[in-house]
Amino acid sequence: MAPKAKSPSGTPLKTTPLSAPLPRKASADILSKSSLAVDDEPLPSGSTTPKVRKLAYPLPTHISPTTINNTESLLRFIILALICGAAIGSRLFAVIRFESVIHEFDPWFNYRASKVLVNKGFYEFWNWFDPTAWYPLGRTVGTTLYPGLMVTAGLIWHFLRLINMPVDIRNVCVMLAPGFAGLTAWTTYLFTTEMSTPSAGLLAAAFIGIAPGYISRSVAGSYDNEAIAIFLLMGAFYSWIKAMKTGSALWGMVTALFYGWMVAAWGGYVFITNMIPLHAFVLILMGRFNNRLYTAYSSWYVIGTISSMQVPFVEFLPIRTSEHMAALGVFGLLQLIAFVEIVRRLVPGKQFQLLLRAFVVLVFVVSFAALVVLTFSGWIAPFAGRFYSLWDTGYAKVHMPIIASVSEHQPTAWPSFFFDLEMLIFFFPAGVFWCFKELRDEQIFIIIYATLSAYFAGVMVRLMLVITPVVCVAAAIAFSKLLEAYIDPVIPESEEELEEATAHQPMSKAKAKKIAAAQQNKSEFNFTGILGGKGEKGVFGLDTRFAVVSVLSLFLFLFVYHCTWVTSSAYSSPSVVLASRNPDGSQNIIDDFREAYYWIRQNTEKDSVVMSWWDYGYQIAGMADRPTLVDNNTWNNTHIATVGKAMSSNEDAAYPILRKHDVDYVLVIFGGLLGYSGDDINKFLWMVRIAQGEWPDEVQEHNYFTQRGEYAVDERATPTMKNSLMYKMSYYRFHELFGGHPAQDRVRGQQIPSTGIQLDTLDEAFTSENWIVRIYKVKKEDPIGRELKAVSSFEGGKKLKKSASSSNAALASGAGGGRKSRPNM
Amino acid sequence: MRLLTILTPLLSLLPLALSLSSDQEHWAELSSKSKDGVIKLDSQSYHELLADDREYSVSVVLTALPAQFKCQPCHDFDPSFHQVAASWKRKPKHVRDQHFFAKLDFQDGQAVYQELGLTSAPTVMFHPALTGPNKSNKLSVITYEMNRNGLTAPPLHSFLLNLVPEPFALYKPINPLHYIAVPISLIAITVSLYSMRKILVPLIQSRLIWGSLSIVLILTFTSGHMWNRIKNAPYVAAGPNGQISWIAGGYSNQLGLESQVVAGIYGLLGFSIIALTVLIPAQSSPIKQRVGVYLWLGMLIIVFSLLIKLFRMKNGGYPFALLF
Repeated sequence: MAPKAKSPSGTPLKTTPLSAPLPRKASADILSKSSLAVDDEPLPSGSTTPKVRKLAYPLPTHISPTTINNTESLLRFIILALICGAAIGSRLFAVIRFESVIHEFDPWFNYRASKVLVNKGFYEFWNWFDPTAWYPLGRTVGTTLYPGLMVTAGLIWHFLRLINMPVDIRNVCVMLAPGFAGLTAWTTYLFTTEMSTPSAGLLAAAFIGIAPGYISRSVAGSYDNEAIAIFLLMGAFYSWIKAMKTGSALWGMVTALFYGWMVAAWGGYVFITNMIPLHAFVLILMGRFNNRLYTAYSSWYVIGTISSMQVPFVEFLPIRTSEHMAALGVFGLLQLIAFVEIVRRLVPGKQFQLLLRAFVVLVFVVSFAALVVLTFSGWIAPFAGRFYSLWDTGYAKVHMPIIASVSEHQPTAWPSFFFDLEMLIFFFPAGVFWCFKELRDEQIFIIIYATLSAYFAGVMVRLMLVITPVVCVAAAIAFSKLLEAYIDPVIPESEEELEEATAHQPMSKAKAKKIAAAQQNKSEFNFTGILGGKGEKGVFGLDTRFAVVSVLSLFLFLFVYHCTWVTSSAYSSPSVVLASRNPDGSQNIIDDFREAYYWIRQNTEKDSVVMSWWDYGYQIAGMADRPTLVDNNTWNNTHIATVGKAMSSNEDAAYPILRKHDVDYVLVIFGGLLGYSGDDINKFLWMVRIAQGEWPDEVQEHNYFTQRGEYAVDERATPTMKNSLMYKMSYYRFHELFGGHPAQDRVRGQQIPSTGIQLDTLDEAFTSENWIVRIYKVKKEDPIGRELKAVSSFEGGKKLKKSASSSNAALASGAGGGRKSRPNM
Repeated sequence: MRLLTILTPLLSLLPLALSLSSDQEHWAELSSKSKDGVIKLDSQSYHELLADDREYSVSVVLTALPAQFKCQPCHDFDPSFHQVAASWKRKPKHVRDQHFFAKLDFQDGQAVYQELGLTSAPTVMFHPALTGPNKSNKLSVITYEMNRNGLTAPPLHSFLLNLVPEPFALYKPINPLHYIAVPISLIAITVSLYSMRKILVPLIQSRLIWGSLSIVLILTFTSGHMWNRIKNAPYVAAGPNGQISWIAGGYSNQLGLESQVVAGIYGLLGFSIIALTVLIPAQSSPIKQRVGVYLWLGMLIIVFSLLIKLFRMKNGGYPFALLF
């Protein structure tokens, strides 16, 4: 009983409902045993009641405690292993359905970097300058990426080679995320065991293993930083809790190493950088400072900061940016308090202590002021825009259209929470309640983590990933407490029995009893709380136990079904390969992306530059191996805006841009034939917006909307829209597919005008099977110096006089009319 | 010194400009007469001001100020526009006459509204100079994006900063009250906090308060409150038949009331769990306890089923259901 009853000295215990005694250790023991179905001990250890306890169901009596312990740990191990297996297994949908393929966009770059690391060695990778990205600028990759992921994959690859398993690096990359998901389940188990009981730990491991909120980022093939980051996050948090509880510098160092690995792997490390100081700070405010906290924090901060500075992308950021100042400040504060504690122990005297306290406050205020001055003088960088936009939610929309344009940076509506967490979402607050009820040092961590991450997840869909672990932990605590209460076989003494038992005792208790009975549940609960060990808490009937446990099992089954369905239907698409259903139910694989990228790879010059919107930059570099203008790194806004401008202007304006950037091929994604909604026409407005940010007097979003404010691609489309390069490239020759019938765009649900689109400066080079990828070759300047427009009308006029010239005339007049009428819009 | 370098080329241009356009002088006069330099237009003068041979640029706000139009944004935006115009008016005369601020009210210029096909007000349009030394722009009209930038003056100012012939600073009249009121109120708050410390300190140290605060915060955030804040979701919406609906269609869309209902559901479910774990086992009468268990368990199942049903309404393809 000893460890639970620790009530913080600094907190007044006026709030009786919350400070009731904790469930007895005995019942917890019984639960963990009975839930594992090997129990023999009807009498909870430590209970000295003379009466034999009544049990709701019989328990075996002849097994020795050693056997129980051994079986328990064996079962725990087996269950944990099975959970890891389930975590890995449920992430393999994509591999089974399609093949072992790298997903989406960013993973393609990570994969390419891993190949460099494995094939050319570590130093080559560290100093890698990639001239093919951001043509003609190039990118110093070594110092602009988080190398942790590639290094991890490289180490695993080398290890497998060492034990004579020559595995392709691609397979290592594909399977990395599921493998680390299994490890995450294990660290979550350890973490939750520190917070509550091992049975809660097992539940938490099972939850995190299959929770869609985490699966969304860690299916096989999703070779991205987040794949290992959550494991590192939970590892760092677990070792921090361990360090804080034991006061061991070794655990502090383990925390620091996890932290260092995390810094190398994911930009989200800032969450740990602020979470641990915040926890330490809250503990100090609550008057819970002790030497264990001091040792743990100091060893973490010093080693962690030094190790984080080894990453080239981070370098001196930990002492020069606002995001890291909280950690530094708490470090200083801890030194100060530790110093004062020592002095106070040595020097008695009340006034001196007052002086010391004033000294602490003064130093704190002065250093804070110094921090502010340094920030304003520019020595310490203010919050980076990405972090700042978490607080000032309107910031990104105005100042960083690229950040705002990404769908995963949108705020989260409630269905997303339910979709990703199902029933955990309402077990979550109940778990936080339990943390408040017990309020041990480590549980304060959960509370802070829960509240902060709930905010972050609400602001950005992407950060659902950060809230998922804490939701699983808190929900598991609440769930296991509930199960515990109803599986515990001990039947308490009922009212009458209690009456008899207390009859020979002084009157006061009976009186209290009456008062309590007059009131409601809550006061009865108070009453039993006051009575402590004597007033039994527990469940009487077998039927109620059965009802609750079976309903909870039903919930668990539903949860598993939900998670499997979500994973299978929403999160297992590689988005490089698409699938659809034929009318007869069979699967139809749509492989246009790879088809087109391999076409580029095999049919174009090695150094020909491909221009596309930045989404496809990494894929082109990874699969087609050609230089690109912009890619998913998005470090240079102007360059992206240039591409946006080229796409959104008419041919006359776009052609010089294309030629100046040596563009040989232009690639657009068009989903109108198949109904693929993630195509470039749907992203087009963002191109316009980003271009407008740089050239407000040349590109205006307004001009791409009809007078009634609609975004139309049919007859109603504005001349600016119809003449834009993107529109022309998307719908070039589209109507010919329909053989005279009206051409239907299946994404927008609009009819495309069947007047032919004339391209003067581009030639159609390739269109994939389902028209998803269309590639155009940029014409060179005319050898005899004519305008390309004139060339095409000359050639067109020679071949088919009527249609070409008339459509040309229509276009010209349309453009002219547009120019005239534009002021009216 | 710097002023002089700016002035010299302009001064040399001045006589030319004056001789070319007596129109410009006319508008300059109108502009300097009005308080903030905003010219009031009607349908006819609108077209005159925006003549094809203009050497000056114009920022026009099309608004609807009279009370019968009930245009609240127009009223909110009007001071911002005037503030920016007044800031521009502080420029020397030869600079300021190259760009005019004008205002056309719906009442005076319905024809213009029809011509432009405008359906919403206020709208700000920048018309660059079409001839003369300042002619440089590629677009013939640039519309200020009111929805994105909001109704305040600074975004309008930064929008115009790149378009007008010469940069200008946004002039803010100093409000001395501000500098006095803020420190005084700060001191007052500190003093009152200190005097109430007997009440406040136990409150700050109360586990109950912190506990309920964090749980309320968690419920608020997990039910999509931030989405409502950021996307300005309406509280309720009118349905197709005129009735009021509180559920928005679509998976990534929601209404204010909807997210509050969801928060309530989460809270109720969470409380049922706590009740089943803490309150029920503490009940020492077996019968009362049994009733309690079935009551709260029923609550848990029914409300959870409702939640799933609600989710199915949002996400049509969701295959699972509990009771309903």
